[in-house]
Amino acid sequence: MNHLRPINRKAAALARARLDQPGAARALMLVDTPYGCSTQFAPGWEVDSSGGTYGLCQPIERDLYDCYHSCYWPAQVPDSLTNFPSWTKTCGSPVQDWSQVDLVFP
Amino acid sequence: MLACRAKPASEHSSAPQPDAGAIDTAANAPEQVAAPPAPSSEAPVAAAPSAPRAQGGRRDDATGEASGEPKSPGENAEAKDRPGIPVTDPLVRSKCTVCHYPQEGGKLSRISYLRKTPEAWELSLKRMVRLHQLQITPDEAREVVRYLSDNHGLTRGEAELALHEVERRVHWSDAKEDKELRDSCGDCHTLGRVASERRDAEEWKQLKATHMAFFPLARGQAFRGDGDGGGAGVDFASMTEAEIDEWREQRRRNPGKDQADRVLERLAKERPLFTPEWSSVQANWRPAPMEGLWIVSGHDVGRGDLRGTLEVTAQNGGGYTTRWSLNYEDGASVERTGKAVFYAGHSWRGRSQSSAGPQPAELREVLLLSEDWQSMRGRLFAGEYNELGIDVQLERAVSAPQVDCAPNAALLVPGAGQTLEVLARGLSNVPAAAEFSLGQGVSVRAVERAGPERLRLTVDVAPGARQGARVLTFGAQRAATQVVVHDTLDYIKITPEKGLARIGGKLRPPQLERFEALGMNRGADGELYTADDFFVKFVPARWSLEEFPVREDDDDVKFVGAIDAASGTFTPGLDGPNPARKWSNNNVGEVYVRARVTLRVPQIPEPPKKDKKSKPDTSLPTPPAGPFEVVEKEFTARAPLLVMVPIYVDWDRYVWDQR
Repeated sequence: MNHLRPINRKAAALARARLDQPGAARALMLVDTPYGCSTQFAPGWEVDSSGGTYGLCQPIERDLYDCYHSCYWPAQVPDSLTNFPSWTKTCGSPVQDWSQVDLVFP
Repeated sequence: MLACRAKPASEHSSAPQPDAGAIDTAANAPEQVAAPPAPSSEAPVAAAPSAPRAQGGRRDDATGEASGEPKSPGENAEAKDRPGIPVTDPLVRSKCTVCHYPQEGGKLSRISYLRKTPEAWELSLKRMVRLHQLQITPDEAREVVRYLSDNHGLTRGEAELALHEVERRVHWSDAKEDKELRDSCGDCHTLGRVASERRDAEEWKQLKATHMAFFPLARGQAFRGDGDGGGAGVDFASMTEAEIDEWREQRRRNPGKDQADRVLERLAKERPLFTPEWSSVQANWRPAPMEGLWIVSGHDVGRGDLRGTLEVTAQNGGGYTTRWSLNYEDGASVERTGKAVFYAGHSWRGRSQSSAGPQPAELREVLLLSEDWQSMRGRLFAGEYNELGIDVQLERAVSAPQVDCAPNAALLVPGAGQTLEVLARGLSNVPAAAEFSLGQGVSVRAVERAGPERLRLTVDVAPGARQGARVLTFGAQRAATQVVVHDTLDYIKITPEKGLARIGGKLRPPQLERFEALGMNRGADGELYTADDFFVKFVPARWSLEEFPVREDDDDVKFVGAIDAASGTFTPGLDGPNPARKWSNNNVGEVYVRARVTLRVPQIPEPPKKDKKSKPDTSLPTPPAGPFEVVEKEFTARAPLLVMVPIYVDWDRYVWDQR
């Protein structure tokens, strides 16, 4: 912070705050979006916008239910809305039990 | 962690289930309950303009009259002037009229305005079973697919444009296609699916509605559903709030055309239901005789070229039995037997089995008959993602002698007394050398027998003979494959240029990748890596993996899998999170595949350097005449390999032999 100067009231309050004191900071919301989850079709299912895998959601099991429930990749992941409403019945947590979900054969 | 329950329900089992896979689980699927007959009513079907085809070339005299079909007077009136293809098969009518309304002229709603490949019809039928409670037995489903593929199928020319899709090629790019088409359709699936269908304008329009109903997110994702720019260019800053609200309301009522609308309008013009070619095919249709012997040449990645025969026998009641006899470059001989179905007068679909040697136990066959009925080309394939393919070309066996070059044939220039193995059918005597020709600068000096259907030619290649591929002729016969005349190998190249694999082994088997090294010549311009360089022959390589660094401390190479040093076959790592990796990443990543080749090749002297001050010389350099000293050389090349995540839907599960 030594090299930064607050330019509005909120930043000034933050600069005055003693964040190292217990209770000074409180988390109001935890974002549960998985690391690397894409909000656009580029990156694609297999590759990120650079053509590699580095920018993808990893591991894929972290994002699998989001893809499933939002029908985001209907050609790659079963969709919950139309075709495969009970795909994840057998598996509560894909990161733990990923091998319990199974392939679908349309 | 929630406990995992017992085995999944029907639509997500680890094996095709009777309900979802009714079409391709013929033998073991339990009997399905046929649809109950609808209440009796007058058949609203007029006589069909043309009777449909039945398998085996019989004309089907069915009029399409079926009792108990529901009527929809409104739709009838609407469809009166809409040209469509009548559906006259009693089975198809009885199954489909549960939902699809009969219309004037023997038409059925939606079905009469579509033409598709057998694979696309099969997908449609599976969707009807999955989503619309179609009750159908496997035998009935096969017959419905057969009828629709024959009578509502693609023409040969159209099927050729969609051939890569049904061949299930892994290495295929849609990059050359129109950008809006790629964005609207290719974001989710291959454009081959689009190429697999022809529709009338109304049906193309309804395709969007179907997608939006099934996959609502498609509107914003792939279809760019903002319509005509989404407000781009509107000067909101100078508008009042009321004006902006008014603009929004107008826009809501009349959103304009989005990207998908524009694409579908173009498809309606470019890929209509009726074309002159389609009319001509209908008028000229007759059964193509497929029985008999076919001469096979092909290439199996990693194992080299193959030659052989396919014997086709017609079955009673339709379909064919097959016997493949294949001889590999490595000396292995394989016999495969199987069954096949021939659709729409041009599309061969089969499946063969073999228990011998390092062969896939089952190979699926997708072949396209040529316009003149004399040849077929296509792909034999296996693998979880259909990635293990053999490209094949088949020529109909004729009574005249037929010759072909043995696999990987190449001749050095200059060179006296080189041998060239030739496969020869129907030649009881050893023919004279003068009957063979390889063009200018190459002369056949002698011929001897090297086996029952094999000859060995002694060939002289004169200094200065033009390099490149040559066609071997024997009298009026031309060999199907070529022999490459070259002075040396200048470098090696790896195929495929970019490897693709998918992790697997637990949830789903992996997608393998196979690499080969190609010996290349620098071509007539004398420069390496230019457009005129030509492929000479496949060369044996030693294979290894290297890191493809895209980030600091990149460590993909430790996890993605392993390549077989001798065969060039890459096997990816297991699927699922890997606790040994940062963030428990999957075993995905990018690596390089390295090929090393040691060969004894002629050393070509460096061409004299051009004098920059003199006038530019536009003529091609004269190749040195030789003979050249043969030296041992080390060649190396590398290609990127992408190891990807699995796909969780197996859209392409077909069991052809059970059709």
